[in-house]
Amino acid sequence: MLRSKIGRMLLLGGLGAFWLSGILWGMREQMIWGREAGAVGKPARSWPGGSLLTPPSTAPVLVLAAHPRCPCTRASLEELAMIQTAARGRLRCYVLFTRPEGCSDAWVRTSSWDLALAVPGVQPLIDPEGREAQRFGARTSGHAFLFAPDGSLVFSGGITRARGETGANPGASCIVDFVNGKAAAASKAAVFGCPLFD
Amino acid sequence: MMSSLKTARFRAPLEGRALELFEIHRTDIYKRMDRLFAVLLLVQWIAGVGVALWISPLTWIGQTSRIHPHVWTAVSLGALITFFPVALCAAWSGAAFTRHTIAVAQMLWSALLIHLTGGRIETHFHVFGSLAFLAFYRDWRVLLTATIVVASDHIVRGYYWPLSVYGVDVRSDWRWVEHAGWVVFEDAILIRSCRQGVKEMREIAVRQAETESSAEKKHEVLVNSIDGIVWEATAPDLRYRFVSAQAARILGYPADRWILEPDFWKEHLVAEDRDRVLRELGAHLQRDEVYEMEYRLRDAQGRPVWVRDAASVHRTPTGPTILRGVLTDISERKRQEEQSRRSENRFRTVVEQAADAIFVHDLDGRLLDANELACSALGYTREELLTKSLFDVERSVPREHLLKAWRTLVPGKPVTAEGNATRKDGSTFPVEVRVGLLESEGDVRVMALVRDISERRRLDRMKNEFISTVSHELRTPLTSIRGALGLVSSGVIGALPEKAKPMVDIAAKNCERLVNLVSDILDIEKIASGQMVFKIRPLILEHFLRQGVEANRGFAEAAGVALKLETGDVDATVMADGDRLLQVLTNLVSNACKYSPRGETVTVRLSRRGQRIRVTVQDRGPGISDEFRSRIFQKFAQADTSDGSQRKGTGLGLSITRALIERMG
Repeated sequence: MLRSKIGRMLLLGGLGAFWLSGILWGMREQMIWGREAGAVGKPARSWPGGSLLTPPSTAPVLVLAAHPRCPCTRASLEELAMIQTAARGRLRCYVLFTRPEGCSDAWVRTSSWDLALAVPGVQPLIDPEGREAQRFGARTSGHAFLFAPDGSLVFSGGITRARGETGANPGASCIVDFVNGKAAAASKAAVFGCPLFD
Repeated sequence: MMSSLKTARFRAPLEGRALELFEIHRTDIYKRMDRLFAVLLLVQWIAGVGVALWISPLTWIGQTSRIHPHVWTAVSLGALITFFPVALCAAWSGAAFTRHTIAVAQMLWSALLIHLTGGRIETHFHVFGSLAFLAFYRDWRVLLTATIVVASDHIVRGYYWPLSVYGVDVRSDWRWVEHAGWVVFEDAILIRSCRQGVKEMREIAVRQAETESSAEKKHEVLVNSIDGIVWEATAPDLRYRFVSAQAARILGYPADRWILEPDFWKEHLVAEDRDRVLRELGAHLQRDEVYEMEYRLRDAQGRPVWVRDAASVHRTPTGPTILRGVLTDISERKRQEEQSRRSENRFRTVVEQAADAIFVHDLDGRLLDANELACSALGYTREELLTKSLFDVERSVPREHLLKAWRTLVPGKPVTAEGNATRKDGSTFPVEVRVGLLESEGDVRVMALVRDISERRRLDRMKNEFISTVSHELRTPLTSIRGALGLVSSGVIGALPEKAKPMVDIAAKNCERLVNLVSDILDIEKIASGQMVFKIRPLILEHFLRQGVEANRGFAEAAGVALKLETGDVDATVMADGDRLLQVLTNLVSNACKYSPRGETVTVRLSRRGQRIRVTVQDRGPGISDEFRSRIFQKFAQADTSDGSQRKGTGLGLSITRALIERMG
């Protein structure tokens, strides 16, 4: 009787430990995956000459490359809204939504488009085949480029700390600091999002 | 003072039945909550997958998409979190390990949902909701387990991946303390609620135990007031769990012995009954039925006691099969049954050995029983006869007459009649039937003793023929003698010596008497043989009676009696033979005159009774004794007078009178 009770306790304890270990391993893998940064191309050091966008003149310009259907990009757009609030109108923003070849504009106009459109001072644009994004050197959705009024690149990288997670992050802090006339703490950050190109 | 005592009692450790009830209640709550959380975990799993599909269904590479890893995480990790505790709920519902595993799983679901929603602060409310739900267990230790998981999650993730748990990138060694602090704050409230809940459960258990105790006392009084042994036993081992105190009174054994001795009941079964009773009990147990058995148990003095065991079988889903019943002492009933059986046997013996055929039937004439003599007399087997009714056997009397006659029967006063019985082959024979009521166990039966009177009839016929022949042969010489004596007595052929005259007168009177006797005998014979011819014609009763009275007046005057006729205003005509009806009236009037004291009046009265006309001859004599009343119409019957002597007459007058009336319809 006693032995069978102890046996059952050991069995349940073993099963419980195995179960808990499996969950912790799974959670850990999720955390690690969430912090795997996307590929970063060679960002332009200054405003690219062939760009169809209006270059910076009196105010800094922020260009954000976005995949219209990447779920993580929503977090980047929410962060962009916070940056715009902090910049208080001193920052001009373009969000380039990549439209792959063969896709219509409707494919691009997703909830992320609507979100970008709703942020004051942000101009969403359809970027056919991502040509504009490529000019800036973006390869991953959520890659932001901050150019000073003189056209020089101030910051290149992501404005979230992990995949799809909003909250304070070095990229956003850098941009806000620059726009507000403070010294930027960093000039680049990891980008978390879906690849823009096959 | 009362309140403090009450509080002290509830704070005291629970014991006995109260503790048992408390544990039952608590285990029931644990199991119910386990089931609730099993459902909740499954719902959360489905909801988690839904949230993942809604927030991040796909991940993209250019225009190529695939399922987002969050969806796979929700499916796989969610399933892992969910199904282990759900399996524990199925296998060990109510166990502490199951409860605590559910608490861990619920908190892990909070962590996963927070992760799937990108660390949204709103999702943290899942933690507080889960703790509130866990508090329904009323086990504060579960809250402790859940809190440890939450705190650990916040410590580890807050350190390594703070955004995933706090939503902000603030790496701090103590931020988890703030989050855990809120959890502990809620815990404090919930733990207090748990303890209050447990306290209430204890109070309920104590009250319920007290109620049960009171109910048990009432139950005990009730059970002991039953005139029988109330018992409960498990089956099939027949171990008694309860035996009422009546056991000691009925069988002389204390109730404890039934419970403590494993085979008490079997060992006290009377050997002759044991196999039968155990076999019957086995059959009843298989059929799950309410049953009754009658058998004998040996009492404390070793005497067999007849008992009736009425019980029912109760099956329980998990426990043993229970038998509950009442043993009643039926010794007195059995004794009466035995007496009744013996009486029945005696009755049967008498019936079978009787000289008469005996039939027992109900008031509708259905034959219920008959003796062998009845069967042999009618030519039926017993089985054949019992399928018949009395009307198949007695066909000479219409069924309605028989049924009507039975309804007038009175217990203890049988009625005798004659009729004809019909054999199986259709032949008939004369019978005398004596019918009486037989009351047995509330049923009313008619018993008929049937005697074959063929031989008696034959002897009667021979006797009548003999008397008729003798009478006929006597009448001719008697007539001559009467005539001769009349002539001698009247002195036509010469004067008689003085001493001879009285002798001759005596001879003449007795000769006259002999002639009357012979005439009466011949009349009876004629009536019996059907040789008497009746000339039926209408008679006006008043005229007829007046003539009859006048015809008898001389006889009445000779007897010193006045004769009076009362006809009232009755005007009636009857169909009858005038001579024979006059003979009837003369017989009745002469009887009345003979038995009336001198100087009295005999009244002939004509009256109407509804549709009937009644002629009454009333005298002032001593009346007819009860003993003689049933015999007045028998042949040669004469009533004794008060002085023991008999009046002169043949004793055939009333017999002839009745026969004449019957023949005239």
